[in-house]
Amino acid sequence: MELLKRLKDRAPEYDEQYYQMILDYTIEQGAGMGRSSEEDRWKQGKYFSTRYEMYMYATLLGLKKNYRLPIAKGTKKQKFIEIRSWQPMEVTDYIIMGVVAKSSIDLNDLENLEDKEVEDKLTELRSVLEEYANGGFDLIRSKKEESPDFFQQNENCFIDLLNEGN
Amino acid sequence: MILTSIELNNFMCYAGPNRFDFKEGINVIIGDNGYGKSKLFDAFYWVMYDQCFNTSQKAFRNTSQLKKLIVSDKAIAETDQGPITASVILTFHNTEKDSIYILERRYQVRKVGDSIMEDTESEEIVSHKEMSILNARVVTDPVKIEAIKRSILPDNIKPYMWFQGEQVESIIDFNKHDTLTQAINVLSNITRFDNIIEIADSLKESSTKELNRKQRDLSKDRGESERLELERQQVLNQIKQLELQELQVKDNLAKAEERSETLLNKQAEATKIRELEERRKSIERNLAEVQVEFNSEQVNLHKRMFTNKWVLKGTDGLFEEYSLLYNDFEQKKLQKQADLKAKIKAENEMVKEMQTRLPIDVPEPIHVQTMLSVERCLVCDREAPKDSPAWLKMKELLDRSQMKLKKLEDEDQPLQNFSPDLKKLYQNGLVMSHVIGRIDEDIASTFERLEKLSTKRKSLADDLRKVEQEVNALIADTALNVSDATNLLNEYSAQNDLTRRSITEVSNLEHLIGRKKEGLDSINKKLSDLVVGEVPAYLNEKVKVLDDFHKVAHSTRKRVFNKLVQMLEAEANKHYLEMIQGNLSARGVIRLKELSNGKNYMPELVDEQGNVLLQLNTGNIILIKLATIMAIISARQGSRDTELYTLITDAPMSVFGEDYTIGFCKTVSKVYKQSIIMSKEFYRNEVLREKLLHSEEIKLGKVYMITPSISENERTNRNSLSTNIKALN
Repeated sequence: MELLKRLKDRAPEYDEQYYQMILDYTIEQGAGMGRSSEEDRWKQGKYFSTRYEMYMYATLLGLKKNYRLPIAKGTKKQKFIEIRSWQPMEVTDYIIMGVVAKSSIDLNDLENLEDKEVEDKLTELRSVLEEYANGGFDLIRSKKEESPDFFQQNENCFIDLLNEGN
Repeated sequence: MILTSIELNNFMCYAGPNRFDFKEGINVIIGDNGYGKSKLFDAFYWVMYDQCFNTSQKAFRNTSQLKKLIVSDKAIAETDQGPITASVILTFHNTEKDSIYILERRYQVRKVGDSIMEDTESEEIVSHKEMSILNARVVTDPVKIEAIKRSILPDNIKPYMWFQGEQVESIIDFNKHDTLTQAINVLSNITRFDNIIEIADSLKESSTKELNRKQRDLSKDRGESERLELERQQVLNQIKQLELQELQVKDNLAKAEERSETLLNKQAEATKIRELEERRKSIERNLAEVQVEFNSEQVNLHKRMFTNKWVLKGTDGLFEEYSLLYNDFEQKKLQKQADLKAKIKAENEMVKEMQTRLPIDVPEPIHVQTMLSVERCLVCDREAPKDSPAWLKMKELLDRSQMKLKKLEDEDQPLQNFSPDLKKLYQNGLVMSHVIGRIDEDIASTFERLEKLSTKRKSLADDLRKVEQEVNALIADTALNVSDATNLLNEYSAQNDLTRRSITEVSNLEHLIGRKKEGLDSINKKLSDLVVGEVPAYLNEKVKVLDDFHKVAHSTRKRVFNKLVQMLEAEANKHYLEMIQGNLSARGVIRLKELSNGKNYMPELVDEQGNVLLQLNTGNIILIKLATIMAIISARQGSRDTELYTLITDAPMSVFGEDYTIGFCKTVSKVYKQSIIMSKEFYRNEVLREKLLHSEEIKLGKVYMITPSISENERTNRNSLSTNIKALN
């Protein structure tokens, strides 16, 4: 069984409350493409080319700040694109590496499990990833609420946010 | 005639009753922009002419067009139902006749429910009161009313006495045909000379005709004389036509010269504007390029988050954590393998050891089986009870033949092998950790590049702003805009072409007229040669005397007119010098230059050597015009005209700057017996105000300060707007 491949086949979910926030900072893909230049869209306050970039960013932010926030039970969730589609691959792998490092899964034990049991563990890993992404989104949300100007009047806001608390 | 007061009731921003009293000398109403100065000017004008000046349309509008705009919004807002009347009353005192004229105009609107009914017309009431009689009489005869108004301000001098600052340029529009000549006509008796010229011309013509008739009567060849006379008339007509043509061309030439000169004044400024505009455009282009570069860097900045893996900034700890985990995993896995190997090895060794004790199948298994069943070693003949060590040893001899050496593969292996994937994560993490190490540097250098571009962009934007300011200042100063400037330069060259063409045309026409006149002389000679007998001496004498009279009349008019022009020039200079006292950088003297057509004069500024000073700004030009307006008035001083009329002007000084304000007031107080001036200069500049109130050189009347009742930011709500009037002396 290929661990990475099976993990990447999974599509993580996120709290629906962040749907609009993701749209706000992301250049609309698909139908919206080609309607205006990249530069124009950037001027509209779009910092990410794709939604998965924003998701990757949030996950890394959560991982970096070690802020893992489970999505509360009963929360309406949005399905997200499968991990295998995320680019660049090195960053995707790095995120998976981080998630594995943060999870409590015993890797040696893992190897002794039946396929079905491994699948369960992979689901657990996906949840860990979702929780860190959720943490990242929560950090962005609270930053936005705390100082709205941070995102509105600062073109480098997301780079600066990475710097914070370093 | 002195204007002693104006009373305003619910007129525009003057809600409720308001009153200004005036005296001889210069009366000043001080207020900032939008405080009600122009509305006060409107009030004067409205009473007299039923019109107000609309600043946005730059034209006078009648009551019938303005309607409720005339009535105070506050008065309308505060009235529940019924009529609201706006009225303005002007009181004039004719000091000579000691009588009083009261001019009142009223306009009414009615509030019915929520709607406002507007009257279409205003009502005018003129009263006349002799001081000796107690009551005023209302004048109803329209002819008399007109006469009273004319005595207050005759139409032909109205433009020079009642005007708004922004009208100054057009009052004396030197580009307009014979403006100055008209002004001179208005205030001088020069028209009397025009009448004399008319008489002299017609007398000369009739005496010449009489002589010609007599000559024909005395002709020896009547037929030839008739023919020659016909020819003479034709040539005369031709000359008349040509002279008319010449005059027209000269007119064109004069206008072109005038225009060229005006344009020349502005040419340098226009060139500057054009140059600055080109510079502005070039900076704008550069700025746009830098902006594009900057934007693309900015876009890339966001892309770099992923292309340059900036998103991983500060996450090196993750790799460290994983390294430990992975190392542990590998170690454990290795250890497990090693343990297994050791176990197999031990077991194999044991097998080998047993195998070395006796060769396999020695003794043969059937014998061993027997020994086990009898529980006795038949080799050494000793007891070997079941399950005793001896018994077990014998059993080993049986088992060992089935024992094989174990291999690692024979052992139980884990179900999964995730090592390659986990290793891949480790290796990727290792590569990324090197990348992470360089991110700060990468970000810094990117930001440095952005910063450089941003600085460049800022400096270009600063340059652009400076150039734009310079252009705007020039535009404000010269009343030219960019397209005007280009048009002006084109027009200047067109007018120069026209001037050159006209000069050639005039010279051709002169030549042609000369030749026609020679022809006329020869016809005249032929005609006189045909005469037999004597033309009566009285007739010759009459023609000669009337010809002299004709010449004298023309030259006298010219001389008188030139004298008037000289006087005007001297007066204009006196006023100009007085007005520019406050600013030493102003220079030159005004010269009234006669134009090619001999019909008009144009003021220009010359230096001591008589060289024309060019490149005057709008302020200069307005000063020259005001000086000339005052000259027209003051040159007539003592002729009662200036004694009689009051100057009323709104913001005349706004164009030429505060340096000239006091000079202007001094001059005005000398030239006009009474003047009423609305000014913002004294509002903003307190030093200037003190000077006005205490200068001994200014004959001061009343000074008022007007302020709106509500603050500037609430001005949009005019429903509570009224005007406060405060007398300062």
